[in-house]
Amino acid sequence: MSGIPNRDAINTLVLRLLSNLTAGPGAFTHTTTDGELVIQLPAHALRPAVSCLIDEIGILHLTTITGEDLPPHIALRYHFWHHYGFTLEIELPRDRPVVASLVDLVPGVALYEREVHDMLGVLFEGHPDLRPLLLPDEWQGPPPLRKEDTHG
Amino acid sequence: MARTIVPIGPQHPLLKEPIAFQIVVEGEQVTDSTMRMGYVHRGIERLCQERTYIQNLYLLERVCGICSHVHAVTYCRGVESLLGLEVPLRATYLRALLCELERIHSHLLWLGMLARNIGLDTIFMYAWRDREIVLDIMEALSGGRVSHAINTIGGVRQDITPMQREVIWGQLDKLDQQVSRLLRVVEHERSLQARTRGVGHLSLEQVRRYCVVGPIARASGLDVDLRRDEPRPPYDRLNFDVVTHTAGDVWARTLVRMQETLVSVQLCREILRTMPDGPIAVSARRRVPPGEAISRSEAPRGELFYYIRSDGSDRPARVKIRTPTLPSLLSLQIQLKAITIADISVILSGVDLCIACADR
Amino acid sequence: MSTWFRILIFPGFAFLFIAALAFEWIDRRMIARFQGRIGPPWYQPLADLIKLLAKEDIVPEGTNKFAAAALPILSLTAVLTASLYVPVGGIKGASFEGDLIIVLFLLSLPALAYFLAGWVSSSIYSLLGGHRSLLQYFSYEVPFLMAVACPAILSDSWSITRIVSFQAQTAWHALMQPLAFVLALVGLIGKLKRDPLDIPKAKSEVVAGPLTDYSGRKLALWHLTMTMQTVLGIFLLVNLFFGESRFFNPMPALPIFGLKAAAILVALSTASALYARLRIDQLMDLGWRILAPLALLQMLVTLWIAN
Repeated sequence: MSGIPNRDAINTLVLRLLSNLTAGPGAFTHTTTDGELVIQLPAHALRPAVSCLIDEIGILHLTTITGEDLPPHIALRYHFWHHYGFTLEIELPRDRPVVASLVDLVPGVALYEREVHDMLGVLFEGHPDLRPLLLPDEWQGPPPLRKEDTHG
Repeated sequence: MARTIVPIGPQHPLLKEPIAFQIVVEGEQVTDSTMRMGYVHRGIERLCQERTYIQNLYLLERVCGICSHVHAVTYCRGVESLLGLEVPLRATYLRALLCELERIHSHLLWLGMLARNIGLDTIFMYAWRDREIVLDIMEALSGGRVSHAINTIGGVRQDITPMQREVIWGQLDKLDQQVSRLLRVVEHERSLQARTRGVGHLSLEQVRRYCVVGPIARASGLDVDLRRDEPRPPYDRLNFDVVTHTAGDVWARTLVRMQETLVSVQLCREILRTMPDGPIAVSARRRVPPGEAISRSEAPRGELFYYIRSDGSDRPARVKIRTPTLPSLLSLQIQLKAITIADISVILSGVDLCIACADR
Repeated sequence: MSTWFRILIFPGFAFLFIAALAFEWIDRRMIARFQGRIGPPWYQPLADLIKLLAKEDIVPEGTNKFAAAALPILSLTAVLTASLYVPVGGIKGASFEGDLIIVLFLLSLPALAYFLAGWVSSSIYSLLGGHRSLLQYFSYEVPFLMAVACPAILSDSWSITRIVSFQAQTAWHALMQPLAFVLALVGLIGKLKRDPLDIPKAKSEVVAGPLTDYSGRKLALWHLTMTMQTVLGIFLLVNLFFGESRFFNPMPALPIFGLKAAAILVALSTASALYARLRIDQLMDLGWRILAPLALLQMLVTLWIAN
C-alpha cells in the first residue's frame, strides 16, 4: 500500500513535533524491543503534547493508558497509534498523583482514565465521571495495582 | 408514561455475561443510559505479576472464552520479543490458522446471538449448527473445542499431521458453502434488515474520536485491520481483503462480520496450502532480560493490545491488556440515546460484547 | 348427545384441552424441523404443563395478590366459554344468531387480562410488556374484526353455524374473499402473540413481558389459556373461511375439519420460523397504514357483492 510512511518517518515526525516539549530528540526517549518509540515527558507537558500532535496529525488513536507503580513515582504510559505505535510516558509523584485529563482532546480516553484511577488512585483533573470502573462499589482497600498491597 | 429506569443486567436474557445498564425510558423511548461493569473483574493484570511467564500463559488464555487463543498468541509474541526469539515460520502459520478459525467461530456465534435477540430463532439455529463444523476442526487441531492451550513461549506445542490437514480441508469446503448460504440469507432477509438498518449509527468521525476498533469501526468506513497494518508472519505473505462498509449501523456490522468470515475461511485454506515445513518451537529461557514489549493483534472484535515490562526476573513486572470490547462499551454511550426499547437488544447485540475480556 | 357431554367432553373442555396439547406439539415440532432440529416428543406439552403445576407459586411483594390469581382464571373462563359456540366439524355446543359476536368478545378478554396482569405486577418488565400488549391490541384488533366480519356480511348472518352452512351452498369464504382470510390470519398471529408479533413478551427486550413474575400454577393457567386460544382461533378461522363444502360431503366431517385446522397451524408455524420480530412502532405502522385500509377495502367490496 503506497502512501503509508515507514516507521522512521513516523518516529521523526513525532519527535519533531514534541521537540520543544522534551529536552531534544534522543534525550529522554527509548524504544521497546520491537522498535516502538517511547518518549518521556514532564507531566505538565502531556496535554500540550497531545494537543500539538492532534493539530498536526488529526484525530489520534489512543490504544490505552498503562499505569505502573514504581516507588517513588507512578508511571503512566499513553500508547498511541498513527500507522505505527508510539508511547508518551509521564511520571507522577506517588503521594499526589494528579494529571490533567485528556478526555476533551481524545474522547476515547474516558474508560482508560477511569481504570487507572481505580487501579492506582491517580486523579485526572477535568474528567467528568471518575466512578469506579472495575472495582466493586464496596471496595475499601488501597488501589490494587499499588505495591503497598504486596503480602510476601 | 412517566420516566422509569429499566435495568438491563447484570442478569438479563439479552446478556451472556454480567454487565449492568440502567436505561432511562419514557414510554418506549430511551433518553439516557449508564453502565456499570466489573462484575467479572478477576484482577488478572495483578495476578500476572505474581506468576512466571509460562504460568501467565495459562492464566491469560482464560481472560476470555471466545478469543482465548489470540490472547495467548499476543502475549507470547510480546515475551518472545523481550527474549529476542525468532519463532519458526511453521509455528506462526499454525498460530494464524487457529486465530482465523477463532474469528470464524466468534462471528458465527455472534450471528446466532443477534438473530436470537431479534426473534429470528431460525438463523440462530443455522448459525450455531455451522459453528459446530468450526468447533470440530479446532478440536481436531488442539484437542479442545474452545480452549486450546496450544501456544508456548517460542512457538506451538502441537503440529498438524497430513491426515488432519486433509480432513480439515474438506471441512473448510463445507464451511465455505454454509457460510455463503448464511450470508445470502442475511443479505436478503427483509425482516432482519427492518430491525437492523439505521439502528445504532456511528459516524466515521465518532468512531475515530472514541477510538473504536474492529468490525464496528470497519462498518463505519474506517479502514483498519492489524493483520494488514502491522504485518507479521504469516500475514505478510498472505493475500486477503479487509472488509469495510460505510453505513455504520448494525446492518453494516452484520455484513462486515459475515464477509470477514468468508475471508477467514479463504485465509485458512491459504494457510494450509502454503504452510512451510520446519520446527514448531524454539526453546525459551526462564529469565527474561529487562525491557518493554508491545504486541498487538487483530482479535475477532478488534485491536488487542499487550504491554509487557520485564525487570530481568522470571516474572513480569507489569502486564497490561487492552481488549477491543472496551472502546465498544464506550461507543454504547453514543448509541443508547434517542432509540426505542426494542432497539436496545439490537444495539447490544450489534457491538458484540465480550465482558470477560473487558473486565479482565 | 347430552348437553353436559357436549360442554365437558366434546366439543367442549376435554377435547379443547387435548387439542391444545396436540396443536402445541405440532407447532413446536414444525418450527424445530424448519430450524434443522428434531423437536420435542409428543408428550412434551403435557409434561411441561404438569411440571409447571408442580412448581412453587411465588407472588413478589408489591404485586396485587388477588388480581394475580383472578386474571388467569378469568382468561381461561373466557376462552372455555367461547369454545361452546365454535363448532368442530359440524358438532356444536350451542348456537344462536349473534354467537360470532359473543365469541369475538370473549376471545378479546384474555388480551385485556394480559395487560392487567402486567399492570398489577411490580416488575418494570411487566409494565413495559403490558404497555406494548395494549399498543399491539389496538394495531391488530381492528383489521381482525373487520376481516372476520366479512364472511358474516356475505352470509347475511352472525351465527357461525349459518356461516358454515352458507359456504356449503356457495363456496369457501377463503376463495370468495381471500383478502379477508389473509388479514384474519395476520390478525390471529397478533392476537396469539406469536413470533413475529410476540412483541409484548419479547424475551430479549422485556424478559417475559406481563408474565415475568408469574410462576407455578398461575403460569400454568396462563399457558393453558394461550394454547387453548390458539386452538379456538384456528377453529374459528376454519369455520368462517373453510366451512362445509359440497366437494367433501361423502367424507366424514371431523377428520376433514382437523386437516383444515392443521393446515392453518402449518401456516402459522411457518410464519413463526421465517420472520424476525417486528418493533412495536413497525407493527403499529403495519396495522394502521396497510392492514386496516385493506380490511376496509375488503369490507366495501363484500358489502357491494352482498347487494
